Amino acid sequence: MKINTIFTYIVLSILGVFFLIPFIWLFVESFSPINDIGLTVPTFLTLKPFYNVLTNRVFVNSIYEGLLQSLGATFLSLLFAVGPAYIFSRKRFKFRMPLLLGILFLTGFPVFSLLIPEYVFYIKTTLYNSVFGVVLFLGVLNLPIDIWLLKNSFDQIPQSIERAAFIDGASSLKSILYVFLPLAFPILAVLIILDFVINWGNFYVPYILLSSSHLLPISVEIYSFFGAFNVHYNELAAFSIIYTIPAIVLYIFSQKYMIKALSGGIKG
Amino acid sequence: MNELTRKYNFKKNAIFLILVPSFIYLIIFFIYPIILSIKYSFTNISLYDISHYSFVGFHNFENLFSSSEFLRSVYITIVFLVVSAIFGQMFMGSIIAYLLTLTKKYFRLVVTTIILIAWATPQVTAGIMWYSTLSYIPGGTINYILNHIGVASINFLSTKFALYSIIIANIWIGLGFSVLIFLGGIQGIDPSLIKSSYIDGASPFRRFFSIIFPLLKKTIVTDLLLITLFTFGTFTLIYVLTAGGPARATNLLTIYQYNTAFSVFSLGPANAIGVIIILMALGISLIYLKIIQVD
Repeated sequence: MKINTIFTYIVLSILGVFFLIPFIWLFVESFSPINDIGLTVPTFLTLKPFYNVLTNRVFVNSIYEGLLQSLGATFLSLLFAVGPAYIFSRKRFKFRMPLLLGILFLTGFPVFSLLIPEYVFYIKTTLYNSVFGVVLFLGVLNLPIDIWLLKNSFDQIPQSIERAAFIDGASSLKSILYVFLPLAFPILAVLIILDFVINWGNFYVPYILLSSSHLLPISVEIYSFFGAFNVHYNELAAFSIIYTIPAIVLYIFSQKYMIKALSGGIKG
Repeated sequence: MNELTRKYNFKKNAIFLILVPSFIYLIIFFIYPIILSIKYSFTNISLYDISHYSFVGFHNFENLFSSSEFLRSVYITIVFLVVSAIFGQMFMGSIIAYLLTLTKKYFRLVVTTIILIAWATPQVTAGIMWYSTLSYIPGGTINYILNHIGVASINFLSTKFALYSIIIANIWIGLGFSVLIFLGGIQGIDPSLIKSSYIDGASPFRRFFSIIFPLLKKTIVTDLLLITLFTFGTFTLIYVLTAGGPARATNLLTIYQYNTAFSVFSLGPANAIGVIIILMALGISLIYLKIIQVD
């Protein structure tokens, strides 16, 4: 028994260390005065790579584009998800089940394979190479899962609360605005974070649907930087850290609530 | 009277109008590309001229299935899927989640957080990190460690090892999700069932495979369904790390599709690959859902 316990701790510790190994280069290199894709222990540490990245106009612009596109798409997904989620949760109607199954089908859809027809469609409709086009597509990709997760959380808000508001004389709209939405606020907050992190991390949608360099968001900019000739690897590492930290921090802060939302979604 | 009921009915049903904008949005930007994908897969549309094309029947599909490059890509995708998703993430994820439940609270918190940080890392960063970690010349982190313990450098991104490398990188980034799902699943098991196995004197190994694993059937199927679909759609991490190379050794279907469209400019075959990816994903999902229904 005792040996088993020690064994468990050893195995998990090794696993934890293994999971940290890929981060070593990123941190060492980002504070390093030299450029190297391999691991070299620097003789002194410097903040210069971070300074260079944050004063580079192209990089700062890509951070702005990344924020704009991720937030825009998050806004669109939630705007279009709340209504259907409410109806699927509260109303029973003829095509409810087929529509819900359709939404579930789109939730698990292998989205990448749609990029190529979408690309042709965008070129024909002049949405290609526009931030609006990217935001529209990123937004629609998260719409099915948002409807699904919102519907499942709405199911857990008792209907009797809205009825009570009705009896007190509130109109249907008022009961939604003043009684229902405040109760749904926590799940909306979780979805804002989840959608933002997914959009922030998305690379292939802007990579395929944008071409002008001043429109590229941070994910694509880092990739181009990585593939460029004569790369300043320490700046690349610093830039990657700036890109990665918001995703990880937001995720850890919301982890507890996110597990709840996601496991609720799976149960549904 | 009739007028009145109709008016009442309209008012009662007016709320369903909320569905209309959302479904129009979904249809234009999500459903329509699916239909386009199917349509283009039967044409010879090319990136040189997207306005003029003609229908070629099943020609694209016939060409694909007689191309050794495509069949190799299917094979690589299946190996990647089985080893990385089913074995690496689902199976190892369930064991790690079980081991985590046996440890003290703070230790568990630290290890879980580390695994989840990997999961939260954006794929572009992950690709760059793994590239530098596995780098051969100049030596990356792993070769640095190997050299220090007296082992010669290994070229992890060579034709021989690249597939294993992308599998490990994908397990690294995906494991957190499975561990989370299984932690939830194991905590949902009636504790008295686990306790009685202690009284019966079952070994921890036996306890896991004979008691916990079978009780998690629904969790397992849910996890498998989701990670299979995630793994199927993997593009960014591998594109940044190896771009399908060297010598197409890591040419997953998604990367093959991308290159067919944007390097060879053949949109028709690229859409045919897309349709095949969709059908494979659909088939796998249906098999899993069937397994759930049997219960």
